Amino acid sequence: MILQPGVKAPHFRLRAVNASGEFGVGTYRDKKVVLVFFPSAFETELADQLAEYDRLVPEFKDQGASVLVVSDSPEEDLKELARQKAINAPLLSDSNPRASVARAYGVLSADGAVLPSVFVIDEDGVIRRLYEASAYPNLPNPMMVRRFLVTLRDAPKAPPVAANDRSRGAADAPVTLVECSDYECRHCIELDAALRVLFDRLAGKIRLVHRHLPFEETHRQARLAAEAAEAAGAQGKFWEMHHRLFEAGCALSRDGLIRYAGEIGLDVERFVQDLDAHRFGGVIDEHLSLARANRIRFPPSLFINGILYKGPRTDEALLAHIESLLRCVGDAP
Amino acid sequence: MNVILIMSDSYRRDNLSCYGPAKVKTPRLDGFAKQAFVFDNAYCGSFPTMPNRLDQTSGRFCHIDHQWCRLPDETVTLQQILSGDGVATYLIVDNPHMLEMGFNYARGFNAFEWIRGQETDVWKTSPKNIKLPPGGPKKYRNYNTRLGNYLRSTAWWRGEEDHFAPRSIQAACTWLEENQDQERFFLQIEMFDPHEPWDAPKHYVDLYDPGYTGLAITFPHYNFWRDFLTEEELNHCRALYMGEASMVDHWVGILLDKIDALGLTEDTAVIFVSDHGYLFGEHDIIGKSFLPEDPDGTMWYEAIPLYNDIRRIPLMVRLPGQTGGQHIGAMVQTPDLMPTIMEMAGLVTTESKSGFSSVQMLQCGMFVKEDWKLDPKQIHGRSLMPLIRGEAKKLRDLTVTSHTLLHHTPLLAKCAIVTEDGWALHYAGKYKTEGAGQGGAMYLDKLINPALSRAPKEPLLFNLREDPKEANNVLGKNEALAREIHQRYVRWLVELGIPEQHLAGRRELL
Repeated sequence: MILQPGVKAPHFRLRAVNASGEFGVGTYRDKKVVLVFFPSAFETELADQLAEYDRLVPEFKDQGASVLVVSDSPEEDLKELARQKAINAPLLSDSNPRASVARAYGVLSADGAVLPSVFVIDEDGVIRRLYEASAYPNLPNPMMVRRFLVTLRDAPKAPPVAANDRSRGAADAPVTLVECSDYECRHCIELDAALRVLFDRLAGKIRLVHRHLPFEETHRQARLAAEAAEAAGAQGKFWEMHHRLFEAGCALSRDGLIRYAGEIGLDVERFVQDLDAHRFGGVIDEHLSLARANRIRFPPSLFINGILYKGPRTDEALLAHIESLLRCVGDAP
Repeated sequence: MNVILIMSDSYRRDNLSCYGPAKVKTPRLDGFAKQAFVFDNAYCGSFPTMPNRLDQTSGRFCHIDHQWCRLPDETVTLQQILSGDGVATYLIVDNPHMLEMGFNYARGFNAFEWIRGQETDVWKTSPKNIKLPPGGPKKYRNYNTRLGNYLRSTAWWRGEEDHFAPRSIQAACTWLEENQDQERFFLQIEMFDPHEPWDAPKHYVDLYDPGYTGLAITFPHYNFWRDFLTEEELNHCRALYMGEASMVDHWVGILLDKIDALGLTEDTAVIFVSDHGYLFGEHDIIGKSFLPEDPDGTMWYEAIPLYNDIRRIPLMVRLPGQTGGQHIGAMVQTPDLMPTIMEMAGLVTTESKSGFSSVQMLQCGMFVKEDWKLDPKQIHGRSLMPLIRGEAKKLRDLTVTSHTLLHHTPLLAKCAIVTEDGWALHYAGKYKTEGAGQGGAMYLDKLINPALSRAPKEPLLFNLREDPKEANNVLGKNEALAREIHQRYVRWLVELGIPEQHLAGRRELL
């Protein structure tokens, strides 16, 4: 199965035929990689397209990315290709054993041929974009890849998950969802309902992290509600309060928050003291500050393995998306 | 995704071979159609030019409560919402009506560029002495008023690149080059061509009427053509128009090449659309909106019925990376563009239930800013995305193309209602006092004179499947059906929230 965006790119190191040393994925820290799979059987047109990628190497570099070309061609053939087309980007021979890297990325056809394809891998080693042969029979226009790198630079990022984050599920689960939401936002309420279904259906496969993103401009009660969730967390009942707040359907007055605290069995006196003293206001400020730094603006913003999810917020759509990621890592339910 | 909206005014649907046999040569748009979703049943909503633009930017059928007007201060526009969300928004416009007289349709764009001199735009005061073309005010619209001004604005032209559509497209290419690294953008290109005056370079016109030596009437009256044109002149008007349509095609092709060269196909949707068509002898008329005019070309008093060749529009949508074309038969209308573009920009999604869909915000904060608030329920249009994704088969079961309803006279308040099973009802209202208009910025009540009426204003029913040219009124034999369609139309108006004062004269068919 061809690896999809959101999956960790398999590491490898291969020798270049047109440069000294080894290159690969997992060897460049803090750098993006444009990984081009180039078949051993190719027409002149495809070789010319590869030369176009090579021509744009400085443009890719400006966007913080290196270009690597992996081919199952024998070394001698690759050397000839590099000479004929004056290609300077590292041409890596994936011929021993043949096409083993291509196999790891899932770009082998049923009859064992390497499918021309391009992966864009981010600084964290996660695949962010795939141009596969079924959509782009030859290589995609390299300017499209450049354009993707531009958008990747500006895209909202998931705030890094910290040890003290509010999270459910195993820390090493193959899929991590980071939900930046607001208890007074009806879209967040819908999303939370879908996430609860998912969490039950995919128990053990996903980790869910919550970060506060109260939209204070119009949601006047959202910040205090977020503080209430943290106050409950201080008593070991964050998720109980989290769910109760979403179930409240935006009824989040101070009196309501205190009532919910009682309903889930908190020490209400302590809860009220924490709430009135805004003891956890700093946590909310920190979340908001991190959101701003990562270009996250509106609730809800859901990140799945670090990528902002833009599809429908229904449990069916989310389940289908996550299951496709799990299949890539051989962990489908 | 980014969106590039290409609006070409008066671009008849049948210019394009994707809609059937076409006389106009449009190789680039034909190629685009093979890569795009082609909407076979797209209709103008509010008519003509500026009501259409208000529909497009507001997502509302504005004929129920507005007329040809400056952008109302209270209208929350598509570009305003996109800009508020951080999308880089830019308007390139040569259509003068968007901006002249304080019309302000650039409001909400981050920035705009006005390509000056088109049609009524008052741009230049020199050269002082302009020679008006032969034909005089009998043949020409605006002969003694605006035509000289137009000729002044174009007197400096030396080659094709100086014409309006080419200048708009060149500005768009430059903007794309300079803005290709924007995170997200919305570029709207407002080309007035192939609207009159028709003055494409000769090699385009020679594609259609080579060797013609008669009068070339580049800006004819809107009227019954036999009253003032010879058949040869009418044919040449058509050739002038077709030449300009081919010029638009050529330059849209240059824009598509630029989009490709910059790699913007990665994440950029391209929409090609027009606002309405134009009659070249169909129903004995040349023109589209009002007739007849006095010889000075500044007055009008009667709306032309919104026939098939006026109300249908081309609409094509190419999504990022799309290489295969597909036709979509659902009936769609101009107000649908606004929620579609918002969905493309990632601001809303649509919920599809039982074949119908409604717009939903994806996140809080999108439609609420310090200065304005939009309730998505106020949007009449529906996103085309569920049709494109195959989730929905239709958005509506009738379309309405309409002149403004504000003037309360059947001379003006004409509309065409088309059902999905192929009936067209032309309807102009049943008003107690004809000519009792409300006045307004554009129409002077004193010029509304029922005694001079020459175009139909009584209800007409056509069976489009048997009679696509709308030649045989069959209302007499199908009165019950006409009444049913009319009642559906009245319910539709009520659903839109039409003010009672404008609905009152339209509750009855006959």
